[in-house]
Amino acid sequence: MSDTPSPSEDDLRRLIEAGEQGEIDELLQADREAREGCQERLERITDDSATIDAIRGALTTEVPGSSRLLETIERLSQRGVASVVDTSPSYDDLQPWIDSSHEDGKETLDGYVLRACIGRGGMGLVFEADDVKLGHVVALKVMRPDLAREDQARERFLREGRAIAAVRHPNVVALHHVSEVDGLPYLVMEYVEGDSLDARTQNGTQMPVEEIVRIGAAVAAGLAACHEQGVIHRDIKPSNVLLGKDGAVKVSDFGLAAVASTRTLTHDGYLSGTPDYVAPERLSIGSAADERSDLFSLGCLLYTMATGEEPFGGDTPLITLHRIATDDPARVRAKNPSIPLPLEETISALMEKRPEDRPASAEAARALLLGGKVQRRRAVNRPIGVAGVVVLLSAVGLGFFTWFSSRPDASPRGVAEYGPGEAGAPDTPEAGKIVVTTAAGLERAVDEVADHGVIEIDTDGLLEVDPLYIDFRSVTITAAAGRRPVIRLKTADGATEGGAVPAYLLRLNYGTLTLVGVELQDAWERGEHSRLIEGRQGIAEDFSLLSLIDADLVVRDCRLKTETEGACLRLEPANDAELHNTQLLAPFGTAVIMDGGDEDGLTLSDCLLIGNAALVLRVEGKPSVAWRRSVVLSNIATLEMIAVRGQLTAEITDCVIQSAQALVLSTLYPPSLEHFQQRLAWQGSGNRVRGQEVILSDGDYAPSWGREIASWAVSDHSSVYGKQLFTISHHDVVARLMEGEVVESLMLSIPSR
Amino acid sequence: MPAKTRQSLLLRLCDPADGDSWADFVGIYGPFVYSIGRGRGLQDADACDLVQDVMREVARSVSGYEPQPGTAKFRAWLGVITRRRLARFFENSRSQINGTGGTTNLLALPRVQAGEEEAAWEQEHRRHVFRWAAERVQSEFSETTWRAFWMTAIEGVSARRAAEACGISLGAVYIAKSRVVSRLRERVSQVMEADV
Repeated sequence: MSDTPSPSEDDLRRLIEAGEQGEIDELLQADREAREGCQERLERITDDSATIDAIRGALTTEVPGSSRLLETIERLSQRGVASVVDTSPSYDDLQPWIDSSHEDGKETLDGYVLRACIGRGGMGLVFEADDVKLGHVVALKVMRPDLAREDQARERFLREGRAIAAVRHPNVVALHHVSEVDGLPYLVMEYVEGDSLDARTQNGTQMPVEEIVRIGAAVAAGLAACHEQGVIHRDIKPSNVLLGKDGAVKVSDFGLAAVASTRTLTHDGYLSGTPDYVAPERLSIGSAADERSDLFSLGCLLYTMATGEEPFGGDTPLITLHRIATDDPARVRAKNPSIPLPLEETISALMEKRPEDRPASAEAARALLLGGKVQRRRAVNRPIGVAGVVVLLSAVGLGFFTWFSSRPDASPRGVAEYGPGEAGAPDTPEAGKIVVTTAAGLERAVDEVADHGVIEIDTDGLLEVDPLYIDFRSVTITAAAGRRPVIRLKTADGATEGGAVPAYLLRLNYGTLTLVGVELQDAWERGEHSRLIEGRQGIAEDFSLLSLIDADLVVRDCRLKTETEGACLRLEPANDAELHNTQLLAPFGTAVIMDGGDEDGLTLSDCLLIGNAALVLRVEGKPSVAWRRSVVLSNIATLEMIAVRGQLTAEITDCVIQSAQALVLSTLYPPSLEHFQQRLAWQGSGNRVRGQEVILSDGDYAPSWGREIASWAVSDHSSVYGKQLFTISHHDVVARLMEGEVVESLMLSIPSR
Repeated sequence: MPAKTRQSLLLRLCDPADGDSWADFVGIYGPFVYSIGRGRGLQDADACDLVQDVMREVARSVSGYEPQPGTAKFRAWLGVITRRRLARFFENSRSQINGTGGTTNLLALPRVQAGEEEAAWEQEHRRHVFRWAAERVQSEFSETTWRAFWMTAIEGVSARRAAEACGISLGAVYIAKSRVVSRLRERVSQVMEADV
């Protein structure tokens, strides 16, 4: 028997972790003789039953699989996340243009001998090549073949190329020649032996002040030379600044970003590359980049050189864009105290949010860098706009919304008045008006109101109610003149404990509901409702604040707000639904869900709709929607058509529509544009539309007619922008709208026509 | 531990340069989506197409996905994508068969996630994560170590008999079991953390 005390569980655990096999074996040997429970302890320690049971369950349950699945997985994993969506060109794309018939194995493009591919971007490929005729090395920039097929893009590429060719400046990569071979444009440029600035700024390196000033001033000089020729760079970033082995600083890729952007505006539109250096004014619709946008980018470039960090660097492009629009980066000297104050001030001045607050020209920027004094144009740095969406909306300010500005004209249809405490309902059905001031009063009035009756809410207060249900009546619920009541679904008390979670706040089953001047909401915060509903009766998406079953609806001057995954308004079926000057806010759910059959219609005017999907519509016959002067922001789809067995007529005029993904999402995949138009008859005019994808949820499915449908979408004279810049659900604006903040002053930009 | 491996799979997925995380993601969620598809009656080829579509959509959307504490789970997000794609399959196949939009519709499909179905979805998910983790972890250990773990943990064989069968000492069996289990736990938590 051993003299040492038997080891504790902790001791044994340590031995196991250290892999002390010999020692454990000795202990077990001793244990066998002494029976001190060492082995039992080891069994306990190593028995993580939760993990083991889960593994056993997973490995002993049959899971469907197939060799085809394995192949699919294999293929997908090899391609990598980037390449699954990557649209960058590859060498293979150029094969048709490359002549490899030379005996010595050389590959040539239009006579230039290709030595190596030295760059690859959204726009094309760059090769180091031999110009055999002139006997020197050049950089050959070849346009992406798929872009080159687009006349507009090709022409722009060539036009911009010629403009740059006119610029001769030591700080600009010289363009020798612009040419085309079998429809494929390419540029022959000066080959700069060295590195790009990119290589110097990576890994958080802070560059010496003299280098920052030298490179910055050279870039500014190059920019000035180009601006003089009317060429805007649009894509100043470290990888576009070349540092020659001889110390030369040269700006490359002038004006070419614009070529790529014509494409991203109208096509798939994923953010290509980093948006880290993009000027904020370029994030808003309709504003063109000018010289001062390049100056902002120059400021960012200097900032990065000085601090070793990108000024707005976010984990995702969207975060970066959001920061560019709203944040002022930390001061340069806070990150690198060796930077002199004047340089810091120059950088800040260049990075002003408003173009007019920046130095007036590249030449002026250069002078500042070389020792001029920064004239502060304003005292405090302050972000422009509330956020990007407001920037977007205020781009052409013309329409002007003041929510709730028009007070409901509380004109009662009936004559009798009943206070909530009074007994009895009116016995003359056409002549009932009940005035209520409390939640209990409202609940009771809803039970008692007669057909064609009016319930007038004469309070500004919060009415917390249980679900309100009305059937087989036509009812008006209105705020009294000058009042703004909030009706909130009661959820906090025991009424719903363990039972079903309410599926609606207000439901009308057959009849007509007129709702004026009230706010409907629930008390759930984001995520709370879906957590509550787990394991209870109910389905998260089934909830709606206002639910109409086979009923007509008129809503004026109201606001419906929910943070659930449900809907503000559900129409089953739609019948006639009209909404005026009303906000439907469901950033995590759906603004309106409707079943649309023959002659069913949804009319919106002067409304604001926010939702993951703005409108989810089941099309069973020939329904129609008409949207006028409204703002519709969605995260997934503006219009999601499901179970399409008919044709939807959509008449959209003077609206601002933005979707982070698709504008129209259809579960039916039409084989052609014609088929699609049979499902959706779109008549639009005067809209400002922005979506990551124009009409389809996935262009991959219809490569042959995707472009066709995009041009069809713009042919209604709407301006269509197919580029995702903001995800609205994370947006400040939505948060503020949910809080009821900015609504009084939200400027809308409806273009005049 | 380097920062990279501590990050959850989903966060790493947002980094296009991180090819491994994508392979991991596809390795776990590919079979998961496949079995959901098969469970809803899709044929092998269609279920594979579904996997491809969902993965492509994830790849495209991932930069826009910002996990926020206490909010919608990643799985729910994946569920939304899967449901939409599934709905499209049904829609397509039905309209091909009878020329109409069919009776299956999106409004009905979300029910898959609620209540009882939610539990099934959860279980299916867990099963795939553990299965994937087991496959990965197995390749990290020697055959003997894995066998010792397998016999003692999964088959319930006593440690002493496992030691004899594998030709290793009793101490080695405990060490093997403990190491494999903790590695499994680590792998699984990397994935599960994605559900912030």
